Amino acid sequence: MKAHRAWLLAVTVLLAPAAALAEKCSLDNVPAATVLLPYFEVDLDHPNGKTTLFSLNNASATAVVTNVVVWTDLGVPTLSFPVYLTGYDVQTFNLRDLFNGALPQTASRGQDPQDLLSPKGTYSQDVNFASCTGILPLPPLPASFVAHLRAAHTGKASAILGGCAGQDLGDGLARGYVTVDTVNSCTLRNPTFVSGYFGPGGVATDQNVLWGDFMYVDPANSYADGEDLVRIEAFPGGFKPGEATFYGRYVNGSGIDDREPLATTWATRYANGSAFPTGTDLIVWRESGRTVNPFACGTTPFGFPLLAGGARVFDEQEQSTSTPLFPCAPTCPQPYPPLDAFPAEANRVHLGGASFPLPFQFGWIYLNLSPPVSNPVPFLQSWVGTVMKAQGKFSVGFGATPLDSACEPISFVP
Amino acid sequence: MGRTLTLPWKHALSRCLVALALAVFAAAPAAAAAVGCSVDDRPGATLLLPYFEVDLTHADGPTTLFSVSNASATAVLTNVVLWTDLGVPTFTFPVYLTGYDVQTFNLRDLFAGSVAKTATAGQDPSDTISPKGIFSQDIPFASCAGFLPPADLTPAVRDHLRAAHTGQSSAIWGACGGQSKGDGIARGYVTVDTVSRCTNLVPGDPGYFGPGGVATSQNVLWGDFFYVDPAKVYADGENLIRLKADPAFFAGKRTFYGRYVNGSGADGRQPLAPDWAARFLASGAFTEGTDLIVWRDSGMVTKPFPCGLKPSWYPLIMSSYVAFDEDENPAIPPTFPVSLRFSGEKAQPPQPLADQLPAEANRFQVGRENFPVPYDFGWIFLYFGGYFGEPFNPLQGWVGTVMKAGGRFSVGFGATPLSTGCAPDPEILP
Repeated sequence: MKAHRAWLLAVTVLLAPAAALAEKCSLDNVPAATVLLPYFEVDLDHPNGKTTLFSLNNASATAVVTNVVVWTDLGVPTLSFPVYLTGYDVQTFNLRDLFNGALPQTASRGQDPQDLLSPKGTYSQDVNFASCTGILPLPPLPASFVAHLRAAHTGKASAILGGCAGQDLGDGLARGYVTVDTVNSCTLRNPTFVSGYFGPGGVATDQNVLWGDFMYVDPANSYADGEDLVRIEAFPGGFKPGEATFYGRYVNGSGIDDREPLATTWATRYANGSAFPTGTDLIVWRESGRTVNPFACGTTPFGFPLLAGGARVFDEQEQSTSTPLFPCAPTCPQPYPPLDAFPAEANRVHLGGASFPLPFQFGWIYLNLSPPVSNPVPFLQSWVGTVMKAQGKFSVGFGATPLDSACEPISFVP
Repeated sequence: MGRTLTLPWKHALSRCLVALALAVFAAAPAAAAAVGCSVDDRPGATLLLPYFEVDLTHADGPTTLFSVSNASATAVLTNVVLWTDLGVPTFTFPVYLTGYDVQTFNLRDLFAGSVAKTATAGQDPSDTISPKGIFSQDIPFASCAGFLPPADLTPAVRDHLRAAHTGQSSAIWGACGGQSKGDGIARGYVTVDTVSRCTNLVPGDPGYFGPGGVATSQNVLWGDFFYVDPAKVYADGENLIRLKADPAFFAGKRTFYGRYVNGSGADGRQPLAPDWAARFLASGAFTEGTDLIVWRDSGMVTKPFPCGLKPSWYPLIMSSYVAFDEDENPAIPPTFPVSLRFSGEKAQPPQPLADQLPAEANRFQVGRENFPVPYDFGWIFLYFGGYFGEPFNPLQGWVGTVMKAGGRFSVGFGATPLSTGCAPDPEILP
């Protein structure tokens, strides 16, 4: 009898809509309409070097189309492609494949009538998206586009963009971030399009069904750490003009993207010794507050480097040091921590290194990443993760602690 | 022309800024944000370490570390409670945190008899135990005289802890409190609550929650935990689960400590979700597969029990469990007569029974032990529920995932809650 009940409950639960009880502006891990991979890195010079994996999952029985957008670390979109997910589907990605020209192979029922590319299970919907004909399954990227991707994400000149799009840190690592939105049709648009992406008639939908995780893997050094993809829930009509939303910079602060914003202020621990002699890296995604276009190589786009609103570094006895709170005369000490320690939209910064020296071995950092800005984006949102590493042994990654939401920013540094 | 601030100016300004900062923060603490049912990583009034393990027979074996931090400038007192994997409280001790304080713990130390040393200004006037920074408050809690700094454990208490958390008979209780797996590993979970005074009480005792109770609703705690296995060179971690408090909002509703307050909501803590999705890998780069860390609510107050027996609710069962492969083929517990759904090359494998996560704090390897799945890759849907008919049906839980590559690395992260614990869909209640 119990087994019967369990089976019935399973079916009932699976038919229930996911995330029906979402709460606006909470930063929880329930499935969402947009997921963010806040930072990726792929070592293009070493096939056995660092790479980034992520998975994309559909929490509902209903098939969905998603739009994957790859952005440089300075926030220039370089590639977008649709991924079709049957009900309860899982699609995994190794970004190294992408930089070798291979795109994930999915197709809706119309393009895959024999279910060879996107098979489905007993409880999963598989439908036809006619708009995907001619787009799915995705062909391999042509060599010229692969060259563009590799250049754009390493800060080199892209022939397709006619300029540069990212930081050139000179280490052969492709860097950037990824967003994935639920959409109602296969599209070549991305969130920077002024029309046709969000709002009435736009392709973006408010289906809060996406979840997934990401992993940074360094096979040569036997490191791996990971975290949940950042879930950004949609609330149809939930945001008024002038209120912060995740894509607010692309919709002129109108709120029509319906996506909740992230936080502005974070707390994160660091360890730079003892069991973690290799120290701590911070993964920081932050918005610039503006649409970033390709720029002339050798220059920096307007608004960069991004500055912090303020920061304070504590040791475990709460001794602290911080950025100054007032304009400082030339005799004042160098600002600490440096206000431009996280200059890009997608950053990985080693604490204790040149860009973020640490005065203490252990402690935590209070980090406000929203310097004063003007409309239409009232506050600059961000996400922070922490990776602690022990040389040649292990690394541990987890999200930092948000102290607010951009819906109710606290704009405070102790 | 700019003016260089002189030292007195700087000091005066610094003092002003400190005062201003303290005033602003005190006026706008994290607790000012609305508390709803969604459990996120913002600071809370209760922290949950959902599962711990300490190998008591191997000094370089697995252990569990965690940290507790105070996000506010205001000093706070916390009550740390150790529970066995079956939910029996074994030990409690106060931890005092000055403003912005961090306190780290290695649970191996506790099982060796060493208790974390903190003390309020009253017990530590020279600030040698709990020092503070210039932005941090440090105040006396008179109730902590005699409690702080805590003495190390007597051998009798230490032995009690080691026995209770390995499922052996505790001499102090004359009874057992946890599962005995015979591997010398101490298991359980930890809660940390903000409180108004030092106390020996634990959740469930009169005077802990509610009017005049010691528990407070200061949403200021954050922290993380690590599972470290030095011998195998594994480490993975995650944020402690932060449960925010709002007694007014949660009055009469489901809450985290509902089983200890007769469902009144007097604890005011957010409940956890009943339904979860977790990916698993049992092949490829992750040669040692995937472990699930599962904390769940028995719905009952559990007391020590005669060794050889178990609490009345044991084992906990799951209302539903479905494993999907990456092509969304589902595997669910068999109905009767046994289904031949998985005929042919994938003949129906042994199916997980509904009691595979029987305790309140569990760690199980997916695909092995008692948790077989017919696939190497995929995801698992878990729905916690019970058949006890309690007024606060034991639905809530928390799930984490640990993926391991033999001798190389492990990756840990939280699973995905599919709803909140406030109002589980009544359609799926038993």
